[in-house]
Parts: sequence; structure tokens; C-alpha cells
Amino acid sequence: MLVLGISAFYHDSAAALVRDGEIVAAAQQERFSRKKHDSEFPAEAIAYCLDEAGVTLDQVDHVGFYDKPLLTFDRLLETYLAFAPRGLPSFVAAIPVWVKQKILQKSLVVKGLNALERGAVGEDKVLFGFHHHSHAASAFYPSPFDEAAVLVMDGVGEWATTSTGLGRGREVTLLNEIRFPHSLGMLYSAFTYYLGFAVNDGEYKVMGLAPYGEPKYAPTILDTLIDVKHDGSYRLDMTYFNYCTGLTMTNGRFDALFGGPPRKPSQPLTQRDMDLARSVQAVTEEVILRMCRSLHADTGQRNLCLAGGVALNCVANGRVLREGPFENVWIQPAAGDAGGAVGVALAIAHQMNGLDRAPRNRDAMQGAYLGPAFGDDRIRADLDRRGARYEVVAGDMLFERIAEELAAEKVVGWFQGRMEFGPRALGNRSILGDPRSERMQRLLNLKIKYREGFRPFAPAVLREDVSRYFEMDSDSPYMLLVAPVSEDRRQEVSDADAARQGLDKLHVVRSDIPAITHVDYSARIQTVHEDTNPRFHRLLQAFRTRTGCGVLVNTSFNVRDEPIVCTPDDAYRCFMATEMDVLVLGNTVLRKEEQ
Amino acid sequence: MAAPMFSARLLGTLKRPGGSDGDGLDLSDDGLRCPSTGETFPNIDGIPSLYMPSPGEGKDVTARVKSFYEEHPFPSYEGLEEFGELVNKGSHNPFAARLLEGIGYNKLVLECGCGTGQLTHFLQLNNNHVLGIDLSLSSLRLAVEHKLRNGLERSAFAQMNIFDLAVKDGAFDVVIAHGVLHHTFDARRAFGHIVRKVKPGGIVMVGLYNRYARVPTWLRSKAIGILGPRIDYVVRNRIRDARKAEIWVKDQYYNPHETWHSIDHVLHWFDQNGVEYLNCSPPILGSDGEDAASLFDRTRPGTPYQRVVTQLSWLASIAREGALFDVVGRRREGPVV
Repeated sequence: MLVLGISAFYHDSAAALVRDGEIVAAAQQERFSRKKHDSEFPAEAIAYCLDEAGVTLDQVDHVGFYDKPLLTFDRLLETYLAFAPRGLPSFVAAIPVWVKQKILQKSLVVKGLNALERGAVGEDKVLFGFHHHSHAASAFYPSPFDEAAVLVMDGVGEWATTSTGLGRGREVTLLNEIRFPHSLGMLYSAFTYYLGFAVNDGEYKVMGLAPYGEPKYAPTILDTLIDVKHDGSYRLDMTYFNYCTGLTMTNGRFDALFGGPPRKPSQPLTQRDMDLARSVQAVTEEVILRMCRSLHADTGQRNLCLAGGVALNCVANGRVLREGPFENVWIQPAAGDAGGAVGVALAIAHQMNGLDRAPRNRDAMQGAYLGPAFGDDRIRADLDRRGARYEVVAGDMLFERIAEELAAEKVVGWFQGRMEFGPRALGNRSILGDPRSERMQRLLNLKIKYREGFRPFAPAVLREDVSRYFEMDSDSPYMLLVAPVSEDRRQEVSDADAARQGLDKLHVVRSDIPAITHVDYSARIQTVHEDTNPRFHRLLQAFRTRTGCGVLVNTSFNVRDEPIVCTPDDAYRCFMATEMDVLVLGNTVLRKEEQ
Repeated sequence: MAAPMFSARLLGTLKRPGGSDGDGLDLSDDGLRCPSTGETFPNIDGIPSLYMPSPGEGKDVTARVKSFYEEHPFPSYEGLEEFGELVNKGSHNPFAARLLEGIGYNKLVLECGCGTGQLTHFLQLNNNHVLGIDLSLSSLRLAVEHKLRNGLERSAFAQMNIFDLAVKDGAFDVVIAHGVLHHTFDARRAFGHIVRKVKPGGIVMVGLYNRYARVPTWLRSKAIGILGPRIDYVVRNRIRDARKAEIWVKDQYYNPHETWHSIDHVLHWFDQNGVEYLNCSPPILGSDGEDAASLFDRTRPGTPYQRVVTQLSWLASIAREGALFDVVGRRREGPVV
């Protein structure tokens, strides 16, 4: 049985194809269209999924769309009515789009599909899931658990902003929900906006900025903006927010509460900005932990599955794992809306069609390597067209040679096999560096990623070595857990260095792997497994053999504001547009100095 | 991240000012040196200088323009621009992004009149090596400071006179003079000098004030003393830094020397110098340049009528931002006559 899952029209559009309960392919549209967070109909992503499986639309049994647009329309209408006549301008702006596009979604989806020239589907095959059910399904079905509690948190989907649920065998049931406008995701996004970053994109920056600050404003947030109950349920005081009726997240009362207007992107970051970031992060963690405790008590489950955009907050996830009541935690790597495509397809297969589910040892996401791969012929054709100079390094030699380059502080673009699904690059579309280097963090930010100097980098570590470097000994294949660097790797910090404030903290060497040690000694860990990514595993082994260090810096293969690369040509262009030294595509190696 | 003042590829393009292509230069301790004559060219305040003043004709214009830009380095950095920020800004600027895409990869580029060097730095992406030359040392000081602070290895700078360029003929894949020739005493002759530096088959791009679209700027220049700098669109909408705004106003409204040019002027220069027309930015209305994928694609220049309509239409577009238009050409194979 073939099910095609689609998510589109809000944030990250994506497609996924499931055959007999097995995920065959999944990809985000942004990688093909090269528009970050592209929310258009994911034509190219769907075409890719069909081609990967070697099928046409005629063979597809069901097409699942990840949410119900009419319910969202209902929420918009009711929200506008509740606040009327405020919000009229945004109402006037939004409604025509809704009437034209979103209500007529079924025919739109069918039309989009049939324009792909890969067979045809009728409207009867198109089904609509519930937004949070799709998220919950994406968290439970691929998880390694027979049974688990499920927690979904995001900005908003239809009405729900936070949902709890239960996964058991073939069924995922939603238990409780918190409804719009009360939303933990929106609270975080409001601060993202207020701190001068882009909503639905800059949340990572807030999380990365938080360790530079102190949670000074957490009491203010808890006293005024959000009322958190003991069980983790909450309400926002909507008089401080503007997202129901306006085109901004926060309003003048919010500004007054924190003593000034939102930061403009061009203004420098101040200590207050960092304290605000830390404060909203602390509140978010507190809410999530309380919610986990009550969910644990209500369901009596040992396992927890997480999805929804808030589940990308890997600092909070790390605390849930360490301090929360659940024994095991599994997080959908495409926790945002893109993952809804996988969720709705799996829900149709298991819940609706009663297909049996056999949980795997690790999980069914296959390392998230679900996107397109490119063979040597295509790689060389792309490079030849650009007039690139390259050499082909056969077999084992490749890993030795690249490990040597890395040990010499070279920055390496590592393009291998199938592209990752979800927001993280996990060793197939990655930029790699030596974590022992004291200049690597600054070099990567300023001359390769072209992004803010404060932003931290993540380590990729051999699974078998993770506890040698970090205070953690569990799988984190999707870079979704943050844990501290081991005490014995940390370095004495002088009194003068310890007294540094704000962004100045960046310049202190805190461990023997400084490039991936954040200012609070934390690291966002990716464990690398031989069975899901043997080539990356071998590279790490070769690096360890050469240097004694089983860790590499792993950052996504893109520059700021661009999607991660998809094709060999994307990789070449990104390589050339930055100060990367070496590019490896399969076994083909380019050196910048030879170009 | 210490970067040398010139990459090996760029050093190979330099020659002694006034000398022949055989008079190449080497790096010395504090500047440049010509091994064939033994002449040395010490850096001035850390800036490589191969400047030779214009003799006779045009001397006073050059001197006035030079002293103007010594006082007002243009376009200047806004506060403390990190290289990453500069790249982001360039990538979001459609003109700069298209220019970089057109240039491609691994090219040698000469930017005549680079000012404070932002475009020079941006174009050294894609593994290009870019030499920025200018007559203003104070502008170049900011350019070199940015280069050294950010460890940029493939951009380089030297003080030169556009009428006596100390680079070898045919040494560059691309030569750019974006908003510069109209400040020289004879733009047509200056063009003749820079075009020699492109290799046969290479690209030359000139950006000039447009004779139609520049009129509103001229009108504003009569009023700005009374009405103040806020009458300028760029000051109102583009510039955040006060010093940068002041320099923009000086450059646009108080420049000691500027000339205005039409597309047809440039087409004429192209003809005289063995350059084939490729494209125009903004494109000529009704020509195939409007749909060209790349700024460097070969398109037709349209009819004289289309060109006049195009330039009149610029009164409603680029006029508010200085009325600068660029024409791109390809140097034909064979020597320049």
C-alpha cells in the first residue's frame, strides 16, 4: 500500500512517501526551490518521492494532507470576531487568500499533483489529517516504542497549540489540548520577534543566545505574560501580544514591560537581549518539564515521543531526558511542519488501514537520510559543467586523506548519499571542522556561514565514544539533545575570563574541544551510528585514529538564509562562495587552492 | 588569519606605473619593488601606492576629485562591518548578487574606482581575485583595514591613476568601473585606458550617471542646501549610519566634477574600442536584455527609440538613487586599436 503525505501552505512544505508502513522517501520543498522555508505546493518534493520509489500517482492508494484547512479557517474567523473591530486590516489581507486558496485545497492538491506528469489521482483519494494528530503520528509511529505518551507543542495548528496523546500499537489518540491563542510556541516566537530575529526561523538564535544571559526576566514573564499551572497547562495574557489581530507579535504593553521597543536586526545585541533570551528559555523549559510530569502521571507510560516546532528546542529536550520522569525519549527529527507529511502518511497506513507496526531497535526514520542521492556520473557532470578541478580518491584512502585535512584545520564540505529530512544536516550535507581548534568557531561563523559570531556549533561524535566527551550515554542521532561537556574535558578558566560578560564570553577556551563547547559548557550532540551512516562513521574513526579525538564539528552545508544544499551543483556553488578549503562529493575531492 | 597584501595571482598583474608590461613588481618589506629597474614603491601609511599624477591636461580635475574623496571616503562602512555582514548585504542586493553570478568562479577582476572596497570584497567570493584601485588613500585605508581585519586573501588594493594604470594589458577576465568614469576629466578616454586591461574575450562593465535620470538629482542639489538631506531617497530609506549619510550627500550633491552619459555614448565607446555589447542594467525596455538569465548574457541593445524610452523611464526608478546605470560588453578577440 502506497501513501503520499503532503504538508504545505504554512511554513515548511514537504512530501513523504510510505510503502506498506515503511518510509521510502521524504524531502522538503525548500531544498529544490532554493527558497528557505518555502511553503508553496511541494511539487518537486512530491515528484522526487514518486521517482525515488519508481511509482506514479496511479499506483498511490491515498494522498494525505497534514491538516484541516477548514478548521484553521474557523479559528481565524472566530479570532477575528472575538477581537473585532480590531485586526480589520490583517483580516482584509488574509481572507481573499483563504477563500481563493485554502478552502479549495482539495481541488488545489489534486490539480497540483496531476500537473506533475506522473500519472493522476482523483479527489476521492485525498484525505485530511488533524494538524496535531499528524505531528503526534510523526512522533510515535517511527519511534522504537510499542507504547508511548506523546507531547506535541508548536505555534498553532488549526486550534491546538499543545496536545498530549497516547500511542499504542497501530493507534495514536489525542487526549488533551491547549487552544489558540494560548501558545508556548507563540510566546517563544514573540521573544524571537522582540529580540530582532525572524519568527519561525530565528528561534534557534534565541536558544543559542540564552547561555550568554541570566534569567533575570523569568519572574516578570511568569507574573505577567503567562500563567502556568502546576500541571504545566498555561494561559497567556493576550493584552501583551498582537498576533491575533496584527502583523507583529508583540505590542506597546509588551515593550513597556521590558523597557523599550523591539531590537532592530541592525542593532548590536546587548546584555539585556541575552537576559531576555535566557529568561524565555528558562520559562519554556519549566513549562515543558511540568507538562511532562503530569503527562507521565496521567498515562503511566515509560516512554515519551515529542514533535511540533517546540520539540526542536534541544536544550529543553536535554532537560526532559535528564530531569523528566520518562525513561526513554524519542523526538521526530522533522519536528516542524515538514514532519507532518510523514505523520499523516503513517497514520493513514496504520490507523486507518490497520497495517501492523513493528517498532525497530532504533527507529524507523533511517537516520533521516530520506532524500535524494546523486551518483558519481551526476556529480562529475555537474562539476565538469562548472569547469571544476577535482580528483577521485578511491576507497579507504578517502577517509585517511580527509581526516588529515581536518586535522590541519581545513574546513571540509562533506556531501554524501541521501539528503537529510528535517532542519539538521547529519553528515550527508554537512560542513566539518576540527573541534580542537580554538579559531574554528569564529572562522566558521564569519567566513563560511556568514552569520552572527555568537552562534554555537554542534559536535558529531561516534556513538561508542559519546560518554567519553559528554555527560550523556544515549542515542542522539538527530542532534536534538543538548548535554554538558564532561567535567574532565573542561579547562580551568582564569578569574579574568570568568568575569567576562555577554558576547565577550565567546573568547574563552573552556575545554579541549572548544569549537563545540558553548559558553555554558553545553553541546548539541549528534551521535553517529555505523548502521545508518557508515561513511560518516568511518571518517570519524579515521579522524580519531589520527588525532585521538572522535568528535567533529558538524554544521549544515549552507550559508546564512539559504536552504541546505541538495544537488552536487548546489554544493559546488556554496563551496565556492565561502572560504571552505575542501569539498568531498562521494569519492570526488575538490581543493579550493586548485580551482 | 594574516593575509598577504596581494595574492600571487594579483601580484602577477601589477607593473611599474608608466612602465611596460615587462616591468613586473615584487613584494618588498614595506611596499612594492620593480626588479627590472630597481625602483621601489613604498606603502603610504600601509597602503600600496602606484599612483602617478596626470601630467598637463585634466590635472586640475583629477586633483580636485582626489582631494574631495580624500576628505570623503566613499561609500564608507556603516559602523563596524564584519565580512559576514558584508556578504549578507551583498547577497541581498540584486545588482551585486547578479554581478557576482555573472563573473562566475576563479576569475581575475579589476575594479577601477573601488572607493572603500565593499564591492571589491564581495566579488572576491567564488574564489575570484579582485584588485581594487582608487586615487583616494583615505578610502583605500578603510578597504585595507577591512581586508586585514577579516583576513581576506583574494581582495587587494592599490592607489593608482586611472589614466596611468599600473597593471599589465589584457591581465584581467573582468574590468569594472562602477560609478567612476563620470568623475574623471574625460570619461571616454578613461574608458579607453581601462578596456586595455581586459583580456580578449573578457568582460568590461561601466556604470555611469544617466543624462536623463540624473536631472532630478541636479534639481535636488539646488534645493538640498535649504531643504536638508532628508529630500534624498537613499538617506531616508537606505542608510542607517550618520557619517555614511553625510558622505552620500557630499558624493551626490557636492561632487567637484561629474559628467552625464547616455546608453548611446557607451555604445559608441564600445565600437571605438572593439567591445561587443552584452547587456544593460537596468535592462533596455523591449529588448531581450529584459529576460536575460545573466547580466553577462549576450542580448541586443534595442532601437534608439527603445533606448530613449528606457532612459526616460529611469526618471521614475533609478533617478532617486543617483541614476547610475551599467552597460556590460565583451572585448573582441585581437588587439585594441
